[in-house]
Amino acid sequence: MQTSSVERFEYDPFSKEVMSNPLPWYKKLRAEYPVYFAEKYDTFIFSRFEDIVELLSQGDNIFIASEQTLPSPEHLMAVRHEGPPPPLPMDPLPRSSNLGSPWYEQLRHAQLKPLRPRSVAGLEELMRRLARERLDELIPQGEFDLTQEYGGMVAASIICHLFDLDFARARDVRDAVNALTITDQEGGGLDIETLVEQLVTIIKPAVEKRRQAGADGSVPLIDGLIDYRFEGRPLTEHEIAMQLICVFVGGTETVPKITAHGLLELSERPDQLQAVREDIDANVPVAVEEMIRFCAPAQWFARTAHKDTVVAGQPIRAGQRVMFLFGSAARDEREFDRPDRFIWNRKIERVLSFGLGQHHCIGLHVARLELRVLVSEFLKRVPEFSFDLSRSTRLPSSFQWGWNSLFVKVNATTESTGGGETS
Amino acid sequence: MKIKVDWGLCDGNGACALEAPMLFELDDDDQLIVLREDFGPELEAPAAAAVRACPKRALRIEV
Repeated sequence: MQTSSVERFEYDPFSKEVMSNPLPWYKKLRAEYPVYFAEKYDTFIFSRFEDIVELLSQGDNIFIASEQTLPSPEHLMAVRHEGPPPPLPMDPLPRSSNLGSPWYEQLRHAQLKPLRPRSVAGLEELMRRLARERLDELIPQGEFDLTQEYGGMVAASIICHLFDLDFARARDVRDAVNALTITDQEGGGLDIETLVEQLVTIIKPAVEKRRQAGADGSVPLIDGLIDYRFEGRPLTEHEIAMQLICVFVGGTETVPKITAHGLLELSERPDQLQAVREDIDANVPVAVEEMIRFCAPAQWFARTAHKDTVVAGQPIRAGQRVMFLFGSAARDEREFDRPDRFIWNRKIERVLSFGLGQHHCIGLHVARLELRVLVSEFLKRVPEFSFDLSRSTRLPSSFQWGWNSLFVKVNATTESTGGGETS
Repeated sequence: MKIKVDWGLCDGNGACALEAPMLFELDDDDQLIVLREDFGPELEAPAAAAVRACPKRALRIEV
């Protein structure tokens, strides 16, 4: 990025340069434009950790993602509100992420049961089995895409488990979610509505199956929404499938990227890798927290103000928008010492990689456990590994910026450890 | 002082129980139990830590 003292600084989250590597822009925003007004989008953009905490701590339906959590630049330029935006039509029911209280909370709670801490802890054995089976398949190949073929397949398999889909569908699940997010690299943002409909074609049959089976609670993710009543009425299968998009998408792309990128960071720092290896069971959970800070791919989300408010001293009128740059918060020098250094055991007081407040990541316990399992199983199984960055891709992305493919070369025994390793 | 919970926001993550186990507990279904709603100044620090720690911003202290 080059600016002379004469050029005006511009930050456009959808510009190709920003999408290729936003970090230099984030640094300048935090230092000189902590509240940046993107006039063409009528959007205030917040880049500092503390200011984003302040924004996301405002409840009471002040901010609602009624124009999508990831609006397109076309929409932001075409639509303006002079005052509070009109309420969304509620038939069909929009996805919960576009709604405010109380509906957001009701719809979220209808899905929450299998994602609570104790339920998730019960998934550990399955996650380890899936990770080991995957490594058994991949290691004889000698070189493979760590993002998609290891983490990608395990994360998608857990989604299959939660949705009561056959594990054989894991590859389809993974590819469908990747197809959604990859389209944004052309700079037009995401065509959310079209892509959501594509995912609904996979999810809707799973909902129908549960309805036919009587929704007895044995697949709580879906059964909870079948039981849910919106102002007295049940949801249609299509509406239920729409509500499930968030969980379906949420962990399928993020966890594989963090796993692969995190292992890349360790491999580039042999002293840190050695330290982690000294006690994998104790140290991997610590290293995973730094991976979450350093490698989390979600760059930003947006909201629309439905009431006049103030954030970081900036008055915001009802109808205007805000964006909060999680990717910037993760590197905020006001929050983290030497933030652009990967330090596996740095003290992390708080992190925004999972968000904060009403929309705080619903899958956080699944994500943390998957990351711990994926990283620890890999390190236990693979004594030596290196990366081929020339074959790897880190596509420009306005919101999910990370290693889409990361090729690893492994030096490991092809003997399966199967269930022999205990942890 | 009183603990106030926004039960719509509470997801049973349990960050509060880690910061202030004398005030908060999760049951076997990861539902939050507020052990005592009223507390004195000696518990103000852990209560405030719990409020800050809650990722859902579901807790308030009412004076």
